[in-house]
Amino acid sequence: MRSAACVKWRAGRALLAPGGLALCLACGTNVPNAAAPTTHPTATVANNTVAPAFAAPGAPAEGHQQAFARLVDFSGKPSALRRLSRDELVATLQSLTGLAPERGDLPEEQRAGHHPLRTSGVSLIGSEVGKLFQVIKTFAVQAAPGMLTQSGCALTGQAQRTCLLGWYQGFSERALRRAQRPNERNKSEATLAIADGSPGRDRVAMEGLLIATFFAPSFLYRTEIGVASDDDPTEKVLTPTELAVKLSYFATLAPPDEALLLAAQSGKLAHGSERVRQWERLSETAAGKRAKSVLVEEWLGAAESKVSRKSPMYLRKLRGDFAHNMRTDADNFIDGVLSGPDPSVGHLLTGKEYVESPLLKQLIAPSTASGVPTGDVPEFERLGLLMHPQILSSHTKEDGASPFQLGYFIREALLCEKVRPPPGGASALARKDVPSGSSMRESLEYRTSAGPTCTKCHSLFAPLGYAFMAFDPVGRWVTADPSGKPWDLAGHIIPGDGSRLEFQTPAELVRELAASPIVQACFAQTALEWSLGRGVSRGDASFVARLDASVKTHEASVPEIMKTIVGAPEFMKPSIPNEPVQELP
Amino acid sequence: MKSRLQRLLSRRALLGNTALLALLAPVARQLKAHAAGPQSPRRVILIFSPNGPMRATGPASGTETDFTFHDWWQPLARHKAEGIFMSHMASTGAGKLTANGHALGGQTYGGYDAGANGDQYAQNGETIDQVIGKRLEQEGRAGMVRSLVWGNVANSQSGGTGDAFCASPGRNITPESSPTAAWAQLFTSFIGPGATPTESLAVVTRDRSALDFVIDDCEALKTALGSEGVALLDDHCTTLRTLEKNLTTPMLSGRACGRRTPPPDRDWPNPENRDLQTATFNDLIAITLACELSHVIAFQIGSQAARNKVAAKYRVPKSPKADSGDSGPAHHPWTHQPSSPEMMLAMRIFTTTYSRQVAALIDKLKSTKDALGKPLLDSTAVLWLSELGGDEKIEDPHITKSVPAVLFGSGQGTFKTGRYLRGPSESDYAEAGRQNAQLLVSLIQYMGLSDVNTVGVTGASGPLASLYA
Repeated sequence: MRSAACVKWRAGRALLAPGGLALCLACGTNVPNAAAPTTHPTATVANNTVAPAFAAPGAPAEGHQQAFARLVDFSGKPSALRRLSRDELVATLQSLTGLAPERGDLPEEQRAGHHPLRTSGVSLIGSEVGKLFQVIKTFAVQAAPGMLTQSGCALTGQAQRTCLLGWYQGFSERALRRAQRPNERNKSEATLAIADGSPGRDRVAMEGLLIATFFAPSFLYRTEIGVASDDDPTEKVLTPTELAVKLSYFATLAPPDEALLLAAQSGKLAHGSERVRQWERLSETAAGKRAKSVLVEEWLGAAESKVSRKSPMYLRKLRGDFAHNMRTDADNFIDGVLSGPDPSVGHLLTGKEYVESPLLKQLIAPSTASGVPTGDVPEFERLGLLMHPQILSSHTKEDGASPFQLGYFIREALLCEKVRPPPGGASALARKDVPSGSSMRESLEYRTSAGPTCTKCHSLFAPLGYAFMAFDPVGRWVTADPSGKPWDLAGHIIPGDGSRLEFQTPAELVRELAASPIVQACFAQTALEWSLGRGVSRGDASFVARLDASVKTHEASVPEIMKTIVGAPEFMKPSIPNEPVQELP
Repeated sequence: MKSRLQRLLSRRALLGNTALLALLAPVARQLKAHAAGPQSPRRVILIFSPNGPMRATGPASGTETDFTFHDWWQPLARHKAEGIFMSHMASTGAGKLTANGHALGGQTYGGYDAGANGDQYAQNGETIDQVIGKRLEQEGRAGMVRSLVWGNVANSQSGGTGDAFCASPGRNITPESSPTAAWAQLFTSFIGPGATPTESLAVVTRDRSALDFVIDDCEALKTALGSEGVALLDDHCTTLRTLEKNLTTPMLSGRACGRRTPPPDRDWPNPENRDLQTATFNDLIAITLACELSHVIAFQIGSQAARNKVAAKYRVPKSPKADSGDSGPAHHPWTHQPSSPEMMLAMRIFTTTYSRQVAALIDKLKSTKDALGKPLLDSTAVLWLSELGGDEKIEDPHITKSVPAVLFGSGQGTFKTGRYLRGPSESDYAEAGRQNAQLLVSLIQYMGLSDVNTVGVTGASGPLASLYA
């Protein structure tokens, strides 16, 4: 039985998760040894007030359960409305037309924190709508000739318009993920009136249909409104189409195909086993593999390339397409792991298959291109995604070592333990009179030792980051500490369950993380959040507990985690939490 | 018994009349402005520059009417008569809000605190360009687009959103950094110089029918979602209606609004193109205002803590690696360096560059006529605020006092220009932050929102009295 750990936090609240593990969401003092909860565990919080706990009726009382009550932080409140992410827009347009705009041309989503992108309850603001209009129009012009061909309506006059109208009904229902409304047929007819059989005007008419479709809110957002359940009118379940859409976007980032829609309409998707079967089918497609890569990169905060932001000296001697190739290389590694005999979280974190790739050869070879000697030396072991340049460069500064950024990322993204941002003026507290001759670590530890305000927080993540101190911003291994002293990369941390993670090298740390039940459960939580488009809340406790059991049973197999999510009865419900979402202070 | 004169001069009467005058001052200003005949619509441009001058207190010094420009702000000198130059201000809400450093400076145009969604740099409320734009739209005075946000997005810091203009809590607005794309978004009805009238009409018909479909869909989705839909989709649906209106509203005739060739696309984020980008945006700003495409433009020279650079020809020295992890010939890393000749040179180059950009914009506004044949500057208020401040004696990379502020344009006689005003940040930091907030209120009220007396949660009340004639 894990001991319950309770910390103070700014708002004076704490949460206890099933099995008695409290996650504390501010840098404060871990207070272990609180009594393990029973049916309705409570937590002692600051000021000795007692707060209701995160109780999970029916949750496993022992074993592998973890408390991953990572509190929610949103750009907006979760909602039945979910904005399509850029990855989803690209995948959707690709599936519908065979083409897609550049992801970078689409309005960028706002991100904050080390969690996957939140899409629930996030709408487009005015400036984004305006920008998107231009992108969609440009794309429609590009896609129109191909869609005209695809329609098979190589006719003239009214015959062509009638043909296009019929074609468009089916196309719009698939694109908008709903039946055509009665007045939409008239509107489509009005657009098609532009067509007159000449190539130019026909093309413009098709452009109009495509613009209307791809700029429609029904296209840009998904909805999970649901209907009253037959079993319990107070509960909502998704309609068959909404369920198919939810499953398809989780599996492929794109709308459902014919087979999935048929399964939905016939009622088969109401069965968890059928949903799992469909997920397995879709996950093997190119879009499915891409979707899995996107999930892993969202987990590791590596969805956006930041290589171009690094100081130019780090990009010397690297090929011009390095940034693009880095993402592809990571995708290939992820796909290889998840398609192979050991598709586990652990393998993603410890696999070495990518180390021999041409991309990595540019980084691991001895070099002084960045101004200091770099190169993978025999005593350094590079393994797993945490040492892949795509992930490293997503969390490093423009210049120099980034132990605090990396440590902070690992604590939040891999351990699902929120670290409070530094207080205002924190950098001014740093000690300045660093003893001469200090190693990089000695210098950083000295500077952040000004008092408990600094050390309490830094103790949570700095040791994790010191293990990665020798990486430069693009992921090369710097062979020597600037002081000439040997690297001191060893350390330990105490995660929220009171256990102890101890390591001498980054490879040891990575292996510890890979084997950690907390990390494995955190990935499962991340996958759940990804499917929901929001953070988890108290209402997800039993689902979370079931995921935890799956993690243990299947040794953190990623496909099994995703099948557990898809097969769960909760998957059939709208993703909106049943209770008010608790936001971070 | 008191005489009538005694009654008029009684303390109570005087106090009451003073209060009444203060209350009616915005109305009086409006009446005075309107008394002069047909008036151009009022316009506002809000400019945000990143970081700060750090080691210089500007933009000017001296007395109210006898002042000289600090060397770093010298490009502004040719517009001395049209500006109000303020030194020793403080970041909006300084002394009242909990944020500090970049978090405080970054929401200069908001007045809300920072920290939305747990992100210490994300703003907690909309900036005044949004406040003004939305009201103008509601009142049918918005032009074709209620507001525009242009400028440069540069990486500020990991985890921070970094942009200075904000649509709602936690939703900072990414400015459009490509003048080519900005042009395309504005001139949606322009097909290009080579298109025939028939082709142009077909494209407009195409867009109009598409938007008709989309607007209906938006309203239907809003209805399906109920109150939640209204909250989430209102802005989206309103923008769609604006786009539709823009298709059907003929653009103003006149030289400034004639058909123009779109600026060719370039690698706009490249610092070597920064001068051209600035000049192109200045042209676009002038056309936008002259053609009444919008009356509210927000321009972000760089985001919070921007690592922005300028062309190599300006020879900005390369900063050593700062404790913030950046380096090179960029603005932000130099702000973290101790004073040195190189540091001063770098700060001077950046400050002068921004001054030059603003001065060039004022040139443009002076030389471009609106539909009534009057220079745009006559009716446009241009406010330039810096994220952070500067003081020769203070080595603080996050200094939020001694912040310079510059207001150009008399606003059809509203503001008394050609003056220097010294703010109180040296003696009363909170008062300086309050005055900065009042400065924003002045702009809001200039745009006709006379009922708005504060910004964000600054607690500041009323406009900045010292600005007025």
